[in-house]
Amino acid sequence: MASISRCYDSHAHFVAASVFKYGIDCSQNQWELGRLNQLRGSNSDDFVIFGWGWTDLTFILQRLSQFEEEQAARRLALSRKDGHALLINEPAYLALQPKLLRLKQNSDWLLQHLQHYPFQNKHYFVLQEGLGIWAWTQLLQSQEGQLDFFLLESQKLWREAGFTHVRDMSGNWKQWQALMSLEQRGVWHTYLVQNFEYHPFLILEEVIDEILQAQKFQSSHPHLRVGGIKLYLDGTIGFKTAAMTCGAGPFCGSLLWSDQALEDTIAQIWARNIPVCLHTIGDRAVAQALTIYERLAQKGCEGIMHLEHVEWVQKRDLPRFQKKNLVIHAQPCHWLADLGLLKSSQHPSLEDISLPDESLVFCPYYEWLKLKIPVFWGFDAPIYYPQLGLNWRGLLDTASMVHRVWGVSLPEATALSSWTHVLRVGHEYPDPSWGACCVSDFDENNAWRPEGIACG
Amino acid sequence: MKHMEHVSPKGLLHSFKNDFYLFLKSFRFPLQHLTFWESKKRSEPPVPDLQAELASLLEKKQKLNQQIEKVQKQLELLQLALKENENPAIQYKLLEEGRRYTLEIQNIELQINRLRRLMKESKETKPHQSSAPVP
Repeated sequence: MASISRCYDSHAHFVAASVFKYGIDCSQNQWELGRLNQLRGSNSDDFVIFGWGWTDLTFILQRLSQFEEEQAARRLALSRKDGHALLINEPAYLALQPKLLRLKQNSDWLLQHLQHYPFQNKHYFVLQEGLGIWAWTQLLQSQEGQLDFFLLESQKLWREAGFTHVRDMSGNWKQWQALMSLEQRGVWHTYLVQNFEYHPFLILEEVIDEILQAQKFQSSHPHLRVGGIKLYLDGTIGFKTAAMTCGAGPFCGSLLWSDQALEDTIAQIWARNIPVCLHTIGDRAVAQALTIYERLAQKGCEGIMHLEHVEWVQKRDLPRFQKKNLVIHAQPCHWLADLGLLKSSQHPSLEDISLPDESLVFCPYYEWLKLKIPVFWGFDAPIYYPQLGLNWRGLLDTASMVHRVWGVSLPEATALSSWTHVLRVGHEYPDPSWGACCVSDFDENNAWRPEGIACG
Repeated sequence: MKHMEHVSPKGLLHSFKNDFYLFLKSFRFPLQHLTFWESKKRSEPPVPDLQAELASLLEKKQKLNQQIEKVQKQLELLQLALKENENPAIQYKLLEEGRRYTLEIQNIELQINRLRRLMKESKETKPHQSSAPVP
């Protein structure tokens, strides 16, 4: 490994990376604000307190209740380890309440997604899936200066890992404005593709308006590009909410969209010439996305579709990936954790996962290689922080795992030079005209050499 | 945890879904939350009055256009002041103010575009939904 031009992280939750890095670490049970205070000094008192990494709600409520005594009346939001659920306290809830009232969903839907937990004379709320992800962004943006501060801190994280180009999945109009403002101040140097999030409880036309408005400013902001609209089709592997084929894997999550609703929504987005980015972790979510693409193509409706996180795929779907406007994004580093999760679930070892008729394929990177389908690599920060070596290890691990467990022969994939090429190509921003001068040098261990970045 | 059993999410949904109001009351839930749930429960889809909607949109658009002119003038004045002033502290303050106005203009333009779309849509759907004559 020597150097990568326009070194690119193709899937990141950009601002969340630094918010979580300097917030409360629930997974380690570290309830101090020391790291944030170190960064901000005494000015951090007005910031919303964020944290990340809880898994057991009962345990976290006890600890949170104690912590809240010391931080009276501050807004507090703690994300579950996969980021797909958010625990908030009463001040945070009250700050969100006017926005919750404007959502288009009815009370039954809210009851399912917003759960109330009274605990020791305090009130806590858990917001599930999209509602939690949306609420997190709203809380971050509710305090002036907090978004700008963390955007700049996140920029440092990527630059210190040698990455000059990032595709951010979690944006909205307010974040786009903040980025434009930072660029005008001359402090923004990262080439950022900004996607906008959409959830079914929001008004799609409003999100489209925002993205079209953002596009108008693109030409005057050389470091910023508008991406597409991000939709969540399923949950995550860690919390068994990914839509897996029932009976074939260790669990069976559910799809968040009906076929018809998804088709209508994508058609509406494509009609404005905006790409869609679909969160698809389980094989059923991937299959649903491919089916909708084909159904729309039959009707003459075309547009760009990005598939995010593709990790588990039905074998019969592999040829369906060969489509003109389909872009695949994957994070080989995820495999390192998913293997652990699978082993610690009901299945004590990987060999126990039954795959009837070998219908499922894990991490089909080598298959894409054979079919010559391009794929872009990311880290899904803050799940993993950008570090080239992590994806390298993930690629090697999956190649050897596929060979060991299912006896699939991988002559092309296991050849080291071939994988190095795959790693480098997948981490290079595809448009050579954007940030053309950027080159990042890495050493033989895939560690970035700080003196080796040539990008202003 | 025993004391958590009665407030598990499933328990909440099954036991109190039909009478959530009383359940909240039993916990002496703050009034703000009650009004939130109540308004969600009682909210009914509004009957579309496109004629009135269009009139209010046009009025809103006019106001926004006036506002944008005002904000743009203020921004121009600030830019002039910035050119003339050499004091870094004042320059910083003026720059910050300028950025605030820029953000305001961007937001107003977004609203205007949204209104344009709504007006276009309401004109398109009008013949099907309302018998009132199109102005």
